[in-house]
Amino acid sequence: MWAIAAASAAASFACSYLLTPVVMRVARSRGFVGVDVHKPGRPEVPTLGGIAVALAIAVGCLPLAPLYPVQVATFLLTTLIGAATGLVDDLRPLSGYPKMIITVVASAPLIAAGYLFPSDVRLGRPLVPIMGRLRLTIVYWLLLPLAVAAPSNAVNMLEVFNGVMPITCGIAALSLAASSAIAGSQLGLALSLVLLASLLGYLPYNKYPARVFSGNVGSYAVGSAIGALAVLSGLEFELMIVLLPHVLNALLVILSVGGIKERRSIRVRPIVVRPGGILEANPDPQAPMTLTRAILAISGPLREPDIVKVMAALEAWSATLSLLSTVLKVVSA
Amino acid sequence: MSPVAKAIAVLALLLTYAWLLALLSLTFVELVVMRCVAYSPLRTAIGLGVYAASVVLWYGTAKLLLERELRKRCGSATPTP
Repeated sequence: MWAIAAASAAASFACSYLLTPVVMRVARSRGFVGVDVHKPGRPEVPTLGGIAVALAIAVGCLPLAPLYPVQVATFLLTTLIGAATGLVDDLRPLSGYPKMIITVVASAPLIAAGYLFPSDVRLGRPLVPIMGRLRLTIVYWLLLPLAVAAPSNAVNMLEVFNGVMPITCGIAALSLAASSAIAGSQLGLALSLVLLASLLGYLPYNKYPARVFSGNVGSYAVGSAIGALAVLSGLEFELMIVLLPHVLNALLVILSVGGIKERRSIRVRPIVVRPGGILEANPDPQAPMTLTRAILAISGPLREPDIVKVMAALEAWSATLSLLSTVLKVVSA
Repeated sequence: MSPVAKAIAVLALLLTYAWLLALLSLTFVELVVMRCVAYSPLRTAIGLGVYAASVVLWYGTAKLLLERELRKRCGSATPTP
């Protein structure tokens, strides 16, 4: 099992590392470029780098498929539906609510697998710290679609700076891998390592100064993958905790702009770019509240890499709380 | 404390507060609501209400704290016309 898990992670890393430059070249030649608004000179950067990450996750899953056919197929389908949603959004921008509804559909493979293969995919009654198994017989099924839609949208909403997505989601994947190891879920450990490896292979191209943007395809694929692997490994509580910075950002944005809105439709920007690439909280009371604006409000003006460091530190803290939750779960079980 | 360290400390406290609220609300629902309310739909509604209330409490605290920091930072905020 360990050899196969290591081979899966290695395949995922190699695929992501080797495919990203190819995707970059194709995206630039086809005109899929985005403007890096946080840098002086506003350079154009190729986008859709997330395609390489999604493909790397798929390739990394292949060696695991004979061991866990149902679970891996469910994980892969969920991730690919998330990626497809993001790709459609990249090619033809969708507005907020339709995008949210489509990401809810990404949880369909999980629900179908739980219904059709209950011995392989055990859903319901999540294990939580201190209290043990919850009696969520109705509510669990009502909330299950959000287990994929919420992470994918939350990861997408926080992906505003170079390297934020692979760094924060990589830390989340590492934490879920450790939680799986503590809880004794080999499947969770293997899938987390595949996700982590795909993000590590992608990071050199996306870190500051980015040579490629992930696009919505990357953030939706990775968010869906995190949601799916947490549900398949019985780590629903850890999922909620490990993504707290993303959840805080999403809540702040949604409630301050009065609903789920497309990023491009928000007229007042939450931050202001000063000469030399210094970022500052926008003092305009109409500006939406975001995690970045909150960081800048507390710290004062910062450069982009410093904001990413703060986000990484917050993600590391959430990962620690998530791990502590697993320890409490195991101790109280 | 450097400005970056202050931002990390304040926001990490906010995340810890969310974690504690999650644990407290789960414990309250399991120990009180599930044991004291016999009628299942009412139990579900009250349970969901408790979880929603804890999210509202967390968000409210975060909003108040961040708006206070923003006012301190941008005291003479320019109102939009």
